[in-house]
Amino acid sequence: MTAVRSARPRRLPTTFLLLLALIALAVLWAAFAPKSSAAEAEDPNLAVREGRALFLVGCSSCHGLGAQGGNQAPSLIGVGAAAVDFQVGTGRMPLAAPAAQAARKTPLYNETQIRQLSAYVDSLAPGPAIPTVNLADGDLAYGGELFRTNCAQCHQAAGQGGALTNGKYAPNLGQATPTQIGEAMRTGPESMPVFSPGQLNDHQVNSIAKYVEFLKTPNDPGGHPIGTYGPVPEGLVAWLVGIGGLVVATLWIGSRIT
Amino acid sequence: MTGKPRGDHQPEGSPDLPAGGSTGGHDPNTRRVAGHEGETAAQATGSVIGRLRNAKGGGERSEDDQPREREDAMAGGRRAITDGDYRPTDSSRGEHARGPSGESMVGRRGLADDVDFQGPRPEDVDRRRERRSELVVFFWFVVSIIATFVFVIMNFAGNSHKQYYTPVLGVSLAFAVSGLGIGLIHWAKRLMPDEEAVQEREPHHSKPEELEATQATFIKGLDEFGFGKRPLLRRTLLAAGGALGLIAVVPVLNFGKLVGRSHSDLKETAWKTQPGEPPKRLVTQDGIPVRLGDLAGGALLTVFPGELKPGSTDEYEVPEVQTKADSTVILIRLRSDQQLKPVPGRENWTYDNHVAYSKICTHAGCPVSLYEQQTHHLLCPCHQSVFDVLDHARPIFGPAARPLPQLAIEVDEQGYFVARGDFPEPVGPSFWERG
Repeated sequence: MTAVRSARPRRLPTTFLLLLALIALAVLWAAFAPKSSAAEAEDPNLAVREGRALFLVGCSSCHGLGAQGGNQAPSLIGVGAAAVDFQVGTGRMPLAAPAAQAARKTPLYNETQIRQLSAYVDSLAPGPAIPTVNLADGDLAYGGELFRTNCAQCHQAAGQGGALTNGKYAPNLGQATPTQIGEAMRTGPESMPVFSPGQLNDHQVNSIAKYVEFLKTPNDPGGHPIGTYGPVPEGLVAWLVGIGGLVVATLWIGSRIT
Repeated sequence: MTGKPRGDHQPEGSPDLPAGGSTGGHDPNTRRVAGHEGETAAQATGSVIGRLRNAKGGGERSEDDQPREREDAMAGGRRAITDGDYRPTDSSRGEHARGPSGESMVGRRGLADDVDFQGPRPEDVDRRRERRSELVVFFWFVVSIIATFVFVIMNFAGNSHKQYYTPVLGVSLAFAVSGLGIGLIHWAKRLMPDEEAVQEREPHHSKPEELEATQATFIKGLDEFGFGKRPLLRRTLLAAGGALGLIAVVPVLNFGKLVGRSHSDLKETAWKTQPGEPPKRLVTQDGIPVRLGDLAGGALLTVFPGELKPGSTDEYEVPEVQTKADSTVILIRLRSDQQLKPVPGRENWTYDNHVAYSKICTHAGCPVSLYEQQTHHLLCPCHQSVFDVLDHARPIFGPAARPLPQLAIEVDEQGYFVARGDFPEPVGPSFWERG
């Protein structure tokens, strides 16, 4: 209708009513809709069921329908939630391609899915739970001592990583979170030995994790760390820059002018 | 030996030349070089410095600058140039190498064929270039001054815990010292007088008469020794010399004494127990004894022989550093799906899939502690020897030739791991007396 808008509206405009309805709907929905997180906290079994669904889709092709393992992959029965959280959380699993060793990459699953997968595998048989690594409880100097005794032979004195046999390697620890460090120690992924609570108690694990955290941002009071790898890059600099510079200077001193 | 007085300035090798040979009678085969045959000291050193001084004096020539004999002595027509032929080149005055008659020798072949004369530098001919070089020297000296102040200030005012501290100190000290050096070298190369001179040398062989004279002197000397005339002295001298030669037998016999040593220090470690002593417990580096169950399957632990702390019955400590080195042991618990291969005679050397080996590599002595628990291989980081833990640590790769010595272990009544005894063989790399 080509009605002229009067100064006093006869009824509320349509848009305003629609907006009001939407807001009312939102409020009612927020108040009465089922809360998914609250539901999962109340029902742990949901995580297991969701985890099983994820497992069947993404993991069973190698690890078997019952996680029993086979030629391609080891059994996951008894590995515990810590192993799953470590392997899937660092992106090592699902394996992109067969190699000497699974490499860290961008995780395929989000945190909720990882939690669900962990819950499912944990339900198969008891295994190491996800450790609580508390850096505040750790002793930095003691952690350094423990790191050098137990870890540095493979991971290098500053955690830069090192080579093992046949293409395997101990990775660089720069991207590992404290929880992942604790999980790796308790579960011994791939070639890494297992450090059980009887061998290294929780305080020692916290100390080692604190030291590894420190290694990510050390003081470097000597200047540029050159990758903190030690004598090889330092020797390279000494030979190329130091002795090379001396050779260049010597050549310049003795050079002709014309 | 002929007793000529030293003040004669005679050359040493020709004592039989007539005394009057100092000023005349030149041998046409010799080249005269400063310092021989009777020149005074002033004349001898006049070759470079004195002549330079003379040249700076505006061309005055002292008498030793007069050209000496010019001799076409050498076959082939090369001029034999003596020192007297040289005019010193003072490139600050634009001069360069000149020959005997004053002709320019730059680029000339035949003067001294191996010498490639440089010629005048840009600073010698171009006043602007000279000033620019001076500015360069000035710049480097100023850099040195500034760097010195930076170094001194940073040393006291800087925070030694920060990352910038050491590099700034190093760079500033480098510039402080090398700035001075670079400036000085540039000054010397570009601005100081540049002289090029060639000094010929005599042929280095003696005259035949000198050779004969020396030979005669030697024979005369031997004759004077009197070997033939004094048989008593000759024989006793030989006897004394021969007796002295017998001394050589002493070090040989001393080494022989070493051969039969027992080397117990190399064959035993701190794991050895004296009779009556209880078996040694395996303890960690903190002195905590290891119990059955502490290790999970696939674990590796470094252990030492536990010594009871003095005055204690249940606290242990590791041996002191000097003895710790040979008794380091790795205790490995294999995974439940891995089985140790039985070794005849060593059936009770392991306990419940726990096995202990010496940590010291049998190749060169590095600690073998890289344990790959899935493949049950031990890798030594130094030269990549790989030992198979299931198969009595037999080397399967790398330069090690012998397996790691195995330590027999068992568990005592309280559940702690103990060693049954010492290693059956010496630990570590091979040595001669290992047998």
